[in-house]
Amino acid sequence: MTFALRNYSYIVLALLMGLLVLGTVILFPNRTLLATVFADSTVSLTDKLYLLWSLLGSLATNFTALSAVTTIITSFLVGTNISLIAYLYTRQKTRLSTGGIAVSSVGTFLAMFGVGCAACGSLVFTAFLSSVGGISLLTILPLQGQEIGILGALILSYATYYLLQKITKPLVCKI
Amino acid sequence: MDEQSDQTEKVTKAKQIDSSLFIPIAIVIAGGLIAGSVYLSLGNTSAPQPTLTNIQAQQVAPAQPAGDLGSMKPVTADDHIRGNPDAPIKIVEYTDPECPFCKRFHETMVQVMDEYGKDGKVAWVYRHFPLDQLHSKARTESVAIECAGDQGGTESFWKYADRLYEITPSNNKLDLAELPNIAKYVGLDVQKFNTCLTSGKFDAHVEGDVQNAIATGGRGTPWSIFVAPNTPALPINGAQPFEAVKQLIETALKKS
Repeated sequence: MTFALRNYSYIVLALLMGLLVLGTVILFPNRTLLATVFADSTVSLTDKLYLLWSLLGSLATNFTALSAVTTIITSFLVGTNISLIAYLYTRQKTRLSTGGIAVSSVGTFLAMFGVGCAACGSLVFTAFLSSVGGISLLTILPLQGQEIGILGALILSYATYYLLQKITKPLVCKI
Repeated sequence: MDEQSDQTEKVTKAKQIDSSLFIPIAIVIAGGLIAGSVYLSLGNTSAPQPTLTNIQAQQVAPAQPAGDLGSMKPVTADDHIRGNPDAPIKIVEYTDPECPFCKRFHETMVQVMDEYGKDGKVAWVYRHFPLDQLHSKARTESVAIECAGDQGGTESFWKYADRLYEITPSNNKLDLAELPNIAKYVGLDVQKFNTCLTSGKFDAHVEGDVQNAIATGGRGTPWSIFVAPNTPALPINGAQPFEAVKQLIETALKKS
């Protein structure tokens, strides 16, 4: 507890990064809409911000319960990973192994690949499959592509564990 | 002493190998995903396809790298319009009756029309975008909605659509035997309806909507285009909440 309090800035960083990732994931399908509205000088800033805020509600309307939960967990795991990596670099001056960064990156990549609405094509994975003509893959997956997001969340969980191990491991000179 | 340092070195090397395995594993996972997709896509081209329209949808979608909202087929009297056809704001929705998010957005649009349709400020234009690869029944259901409109006019079209979206469990789970039952429910002649359903009369119309959805940038459903005066056409991707659609309408009304 004392350790956490002493390093509260990293907890704040994790939460902020988690919220940032979550917001980006939710708004990503409507980036063109937002870009067009925000570029329109005749629309007031209040209206622009309210539109941005109201679109965040699509977490409830444009996601299944499973994908919403996976997306929230994944976003905060990405935030936690970023914060832990920042801690290791700044506090412990630890040189991270490529393995740690690779696990974290692959987890993030897969998780981001698998968020969204699989059934209706707004999933990044679905868009990718569509571009290579392999959309039939979704019909044979029991969760229609959500598996990728879940796999990403599991890898991110492992990456978090891996980074925590690095932090809690005492810095000693090995014989 | 030398033995001990040898052992320590071996342990360190083992750890390094263990750690360095992460990258190949990561590459294998990513590669597997891509290879799987490509393999299945190649398999698709040689496998027999159920309908010609399926092939067209699969081939056209990748050939259109970026959609152009300007490619949207203009709203005309031939469209299925709910509300005032001369409304300043039109929301053109390309939808799949078996997509659960289209079902949700259908409810949202009914709410929008309840609030803005009565004053003639907003019109809802219905266009078809069945995703054949995911929902094989959706195209037949789209044709069924057209047949309802053909027999009973605009009112029957919307009544049929509302009822279909209400009762479908989504994700291709509606029993197609329910289609004539819905026709009966909305007061249509079931025999005429069944004849229309199997006639192929609206196949080209539905396919035309699908192609237009793809041309405008639709890559999933529901895909909507918000059209208002003094405002560029705005794409609405997915089942956005009522508050978001309301905000777009309010902003457009201020400008009109």
